[in-house]
Formats: sequence, structure tokens, C-alpha cells
Amino acid sequence: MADGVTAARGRLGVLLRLHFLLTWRPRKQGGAADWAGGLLLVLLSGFAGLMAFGVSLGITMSAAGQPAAQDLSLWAGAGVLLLFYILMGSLAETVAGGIDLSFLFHYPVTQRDMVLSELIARIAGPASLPALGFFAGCAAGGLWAGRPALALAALPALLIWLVQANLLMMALDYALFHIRRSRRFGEALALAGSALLIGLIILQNIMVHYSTGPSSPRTALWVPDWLSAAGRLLVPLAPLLPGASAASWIAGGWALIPRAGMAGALIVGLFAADRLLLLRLAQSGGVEPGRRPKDRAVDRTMAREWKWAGRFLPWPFFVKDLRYMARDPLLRTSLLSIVAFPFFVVIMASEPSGLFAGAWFQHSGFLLFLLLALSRFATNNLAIERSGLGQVLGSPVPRWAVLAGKNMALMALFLCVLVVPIGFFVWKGMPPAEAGAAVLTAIATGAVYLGLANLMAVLMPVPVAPRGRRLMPQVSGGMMFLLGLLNIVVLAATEVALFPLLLGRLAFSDALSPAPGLLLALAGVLYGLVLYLLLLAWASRLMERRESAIYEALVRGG
Amino acid sequence: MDEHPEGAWAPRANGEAVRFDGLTRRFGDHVAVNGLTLTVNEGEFFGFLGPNGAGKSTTIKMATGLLRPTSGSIRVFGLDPFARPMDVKGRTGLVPEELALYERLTGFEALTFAGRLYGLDEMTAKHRAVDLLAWLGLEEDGGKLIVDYSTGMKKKTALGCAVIHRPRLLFLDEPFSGIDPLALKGIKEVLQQMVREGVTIFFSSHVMELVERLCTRVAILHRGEIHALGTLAEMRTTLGLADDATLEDVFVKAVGEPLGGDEAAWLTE
Repeated sequence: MADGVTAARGRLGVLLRLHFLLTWRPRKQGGAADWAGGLLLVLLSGFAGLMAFGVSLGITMSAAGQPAAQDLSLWAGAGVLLLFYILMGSLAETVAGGIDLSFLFHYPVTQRDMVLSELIARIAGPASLPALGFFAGCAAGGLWAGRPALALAALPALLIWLVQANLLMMALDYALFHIRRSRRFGEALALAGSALLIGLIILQNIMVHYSTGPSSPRTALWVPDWLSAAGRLLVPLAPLLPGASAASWIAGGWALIPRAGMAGALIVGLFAADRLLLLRLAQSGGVEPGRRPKDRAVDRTMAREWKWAGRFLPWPFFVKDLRYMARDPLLRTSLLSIVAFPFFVVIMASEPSGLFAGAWFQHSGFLLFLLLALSRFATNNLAIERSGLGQVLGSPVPRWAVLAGKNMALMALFLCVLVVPIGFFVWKGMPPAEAGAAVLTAIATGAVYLGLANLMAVLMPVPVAPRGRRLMPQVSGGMMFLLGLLNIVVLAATEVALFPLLLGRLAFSDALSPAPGLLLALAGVLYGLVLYLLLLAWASRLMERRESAIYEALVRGG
Repeated sequence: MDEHPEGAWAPRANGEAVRFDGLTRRFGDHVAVNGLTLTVNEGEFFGFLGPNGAGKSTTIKMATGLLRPTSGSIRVFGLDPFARPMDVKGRTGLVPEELALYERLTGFEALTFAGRLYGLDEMTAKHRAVDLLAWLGLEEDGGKLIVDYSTGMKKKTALGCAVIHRPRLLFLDEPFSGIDPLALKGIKEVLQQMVREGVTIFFSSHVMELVERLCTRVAILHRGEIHALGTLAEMRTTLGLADDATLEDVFVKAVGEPLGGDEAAWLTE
């Protein structure tokens, strides 16, 4: 008889210890970077906590005489905090604890224990500091405003918020892992996410409608009347959303019990969803189907293609990476979310202020958005299909060709996605010359960004398994956060490098007729490509020098 | 190893350890396992052979409750691994083909955590981890992070994790690749001893010599279906082979002609 206790009880403590060790233990090499990342994460989370404290304190103090408006602002604030939390998690890959749960599936550990341990590890992480600050501000403001009930309700509301927000994040993580095997599910999820985002924006605008009154021209510009009317019907449901339900509970009053009940029901529902998703994962095996005759036929076609393209050294790497990326459900899903972007532009462009109405702003905006969507892959481009990197490094191929091939594949995807917002703008009346200039600017920006991303990938190779491929990366939380920040640094460096180009477009966009504008953009592309080639030469030389370190970091693991 | 209570691994009166009945698993239009019907008795060292993509790992994942079958049934010690996953996982150990080890734990920590996850108390888990490290020849490296281990050392650690709770049934999916001959000899001896004491081992491998030497009965799987089943002598008779035919001969006969015709003739030109 096995010694193992067959009823899986009492594993929570063990799992929590495992979470803590794997999230915060630095790697043997590069431990300093791990610690620096961890420290930065704590500092920035603490700063965000202080800011959230100020915001909620301000809300409760300024609306002291109008409890209804105060409560509305509070639950809206908590909802915004949730969006911030999700965005932060997305940028830094993960901001709280997390381990590759799939390694535990063959142990007698229940899904309940796995979900609970991950929930506790996330709540105990520094990402909870902003929420702590927000609800502490509620409590302080409540005391100041002479509403002690509000102050008392802050602590349970904080707990409700943290549990709801983290259960929601976990459900998203588990669902993303499923898309590894289900393309349709992934794409449906991306579209549903986009719809949710648009829905939240509309909801936000309806709130503005309420707070500023129906006659506000700003509201009328933002939301069509029929949509506003339809959305008004949904307003009573809004306080029940994850995040917002915690603050709506603070509002208390006669509705305290049903609202607390709804918040509890939401937690129970999310917990059940997490368990179910995890159970499905645990019983889905991770087995890849075998090769089919169709795949073999594709390989033969490729072999024929290589004959004519063989003289261009990056070509095989371009084809390999393009195929890999086109099959990567996470990348495809990230890029699909850009479908939602034109709606942001419409909202910004309809703002009465002239600042947001300019074409240059719209172009910069969607470019930044595109690069953000792509940055998780591009800045770590050597980690894309890292299992194949050993073969690449072992082959007598110039390193510039390896990098250029990867960049070409990323650029091809980037341009494919670019078609969506450009098409949207043309449909909304953008002149073709202006659209052409926008595409050229995007090419220049993309090239410089990829050139800088190559440098970062060579200097700081990290074996990241993005969300969706594994439940969680095998890299410490601090390192993941540092990578997220460095992605932003690369984006900022791109903007700095392209400053002359942006300045030119800003200066001449209104003054020039379309044709000279196009010429200016063409000059910008040349500038961007020259910059890219210089950066590529630098990165490939560095890659040759650092090859063994890259190999060790990426192929052997973290 | 620590002292075991007398007869702790004693076999149960020849019961069934694993039973597959019409087991099928499809991935889209690809059939990985097709109507597999097979029984492995308690105390058997059962070999599971097949070429790449035959469906061996898929079968093991289904038997351990990690992959739901499309149709058919599985019983492990009479239990359905999907209806009672905790009971089945508590009685079995698994060394998966793709090692599931947290690389930023040390070998000692990985073994201790595995013991704790199987329900052992902290002290027992730690004592057994020390014993296992010595048994696997890893006592010098027990404090190193697994990320710094060689493939063989990782395999040994995974094996240690799979046996720390003294399972009644052990699933080994290509467990010996990368393990040095010296350690392999010791591991084989202990596995054989475990089988003698009633533990069932379900052993999937490509290494014919190992399977021939260790296993009491073998199934040869090809394209998701069993092409031969029984002891070596039984399979020789069934397939009409000579008495001195090796398991490799049996395998080739059961599966078909070996690969490597004229397609890559340029290699030897």
C-alpha cells in the first residue's frame, strides 16, 4: 500500500511555500537583476498604493455632503482600479505569485487547493498595495466625512476586491492556457475581451452622462443616444461587476445585504469557474497530435521555396519564425485585440479639444498600441521558440541573418495588423496619401523598435514562456516585472530615436499638401531603415560575443 | 532507503492493477489510441513498446488521469481515475516523458515537496529525500538547483519524486534516457526488487534490451493499436519467429519493415 494519504487534505501550506519560493527565489546567475526587479515592483506598487490612497481619500472627502455621488465615484474608482490591475499584470506578465501548475497535475492535489494557494499567493504579493491604498483612503475619508460605517466597511471591501480581482485574473490565465489547443476558443476570447473593453468604455461614458447631465454636449459626442439609452438599462448591474461590487458594498444603506450577497455570489462563481478551468486543464494532457500527411506536404512546398530564396540568408529564419508566430495562439490573440483600437480613436477624436483630433496624434496612438501589443514577443525575440535556438546557434549562419529573419517575421505580422486601423481611418475619410504616410511612419517606427529590441534580447535573454503556453513562467516575479519595465524603456527609446521624424510630421502635417507629406514619410522610412541596419550590426556583433551566455540562459532555462 | 514496515509492498492476490477497455483518444481527425483493450496485473513489470507517435505517452496520460479518453474505460486498482483522481494519484507514481520539475528548486527540495504533496509528513518526506538522493547517486548535488542538473540527473530526480510515497503502481515513460550506466544498474535492481514485493511497473521505452531484460510481459503498440501482446516466448510463437528471436526481431515483425529505404540514399553515397 502506498504511503501517500489518498484523501488530498492539508496540501495548502505546501503549495503556498512552493509559490513563495518559485516566485521570489532569484536565479543563480543574474540574481541581482531579479532582486532589482523585485525591489522596483515593490516600490512602484507602493507608490501606486499611495496614489490610490490619495484618490479615494479625495473622493470621500470632496463628496462628503452627497453620499450618492460619493458612492458612485467609489465603485467606479474600484472598477478602474481593477482595469489598472489587469493592465499592470499584462505589462509585467505577472505581478504576483504564480507557478507552473501543470507540473502538479499528476500529484494528488485538488483543484480547490491549487486555486486557493494561487489566490493567497497573489493577494500576499505587492500588486495588492494599490488596492490596499484605495480602501485605506476610503476608510480615512469616511472617518473625516463622519461616515464611520463607510470606514468600517473598508476592510471587508478590500478583501472582497482582492479576492474578486485575483480570481478574475486567474480565470483569464487558465482560459488563455486553453487556447493553446483551441484556436476558435482563443479568437472568441479575444473578441469577447475587445467587446468587454468597448462595453466598459461605453459604461464609463454613461456614468459621465449621469454625472454631467443629459444635456452635456461632450456626452452626446461620445455616445450615440440609442446606445446611451440601452446602456442606462445596464447601469443597475454595474455595481455587481468584479471590483466595483466591493466598493458598491461600501455604499451600504438598505441594499447592504443583497449587495454583500451578490459580491459573495460573484466570488463563489469565479472560484467555481477557476476550479472548472483548472480541472479541464489537468485532464487535457498537453499531448500534441502527431504529424499528419498534410504537414509533410507543406514541408515539401517549403523546400521548393527555399531553392529560389536560398540566396537571401535571413529567408529561412523569416519563414520559420513567421510560421511559428502565425501558429502561436497568444500572439494571434494579442494582435486581434487591436480590432478594438479604432473605437478608442473615434472616442478620442470626437473630444472637443483639438489636441486629440489631429491625425498625427491618432497615428502615434495606434502605433504605440501596436508596439505594446507586440512588445512581449519582440523585446524577447530570442526566446521565441527557444527550444530551436540551440540548433540555430550551432549552425554556421551569420547572426545578423538570424536576427533579421526574426525581425522580418515580426514586421510582417505588424504590417498585417496595421491594415485594420488604417483601413478604418480610410473608411472614415482619411485621404489615401495620408494613409500611405501613416503606413510609412509605422514601418520606420517598427524597424527602429525591432532594432532596439534585438539589443535587449541579446543583452538580457530570459527564457520566458508567455501566458498561454504555460500557466506561469519559470522566471521570478521580480525578473518578469523588470522585463515589463524594460519593454517600456525600449518603446521610449524608439520614440526618442524617431523624434526628428515625429517632429517633422507634427510641424508639417497641417501645413503640407498630401504629396510632400508622403515624401517626408518616405524620408522617415529611409532614416528608420538606416538606424535599424546600424542597430542590427551592433546586436549581431554582440550576439556573437555573448553566444554561450545566451545559449545557457535560454536553452538551459532560468 | 528508510526501514519499511514488514510486508508493506506485499502483492494483493493477483488483482488487476490497470485495465483498459476499448480505450480511444482522438485529436481532431487524428486517432492517437484506437480501441485499446489491455489488462496489467498487480506485481507485473509490464513493458509498453512502440515506435514514435504510437500512442504510448497518450495511453499513460489517460491511465494517470491527465488526459480524458474520447471513449472507452480505464480502471486503476478498480478505480476510475477521472471519477476518483485523488485516490488513483495517491496510489500511483509517474515519471512523465517531459519532466515536470520546478527548475528553481534544489533536488532535495523537489523530493521533499513531492513527498509532502503525496501526503507524507515533513520529517518523513525529508528523511526519504535524503535516502533517495543517496540511492540515485545525487547526494553531492542535492543542494544544487535543478536548472543546473544534466538530463540524467533530472530523470533521476523525477524518478525519486515518483517513488517517494512508495506507490503501488509506477508509470515510467522513457525513464532511463540520459542516465549513466552505473546509476542505471542500481535503479534497475531497486525497481526489480519493488516488483518482487508486489509493486506494478508500467514501463514505456524504446530500449529493447532493457525491456527484454526487465519486463515479464510486453505490449507492442503501433498507430494506437496493439500489434503483439504477451511474454517474449508467446509473441515469438504468435508471430512465427524462431526461438532465438530477440525482442527487436519481434518488434520489427509486429510493427512492419524498418524505416530507411532509398529516400536518403545520398547519405551513404
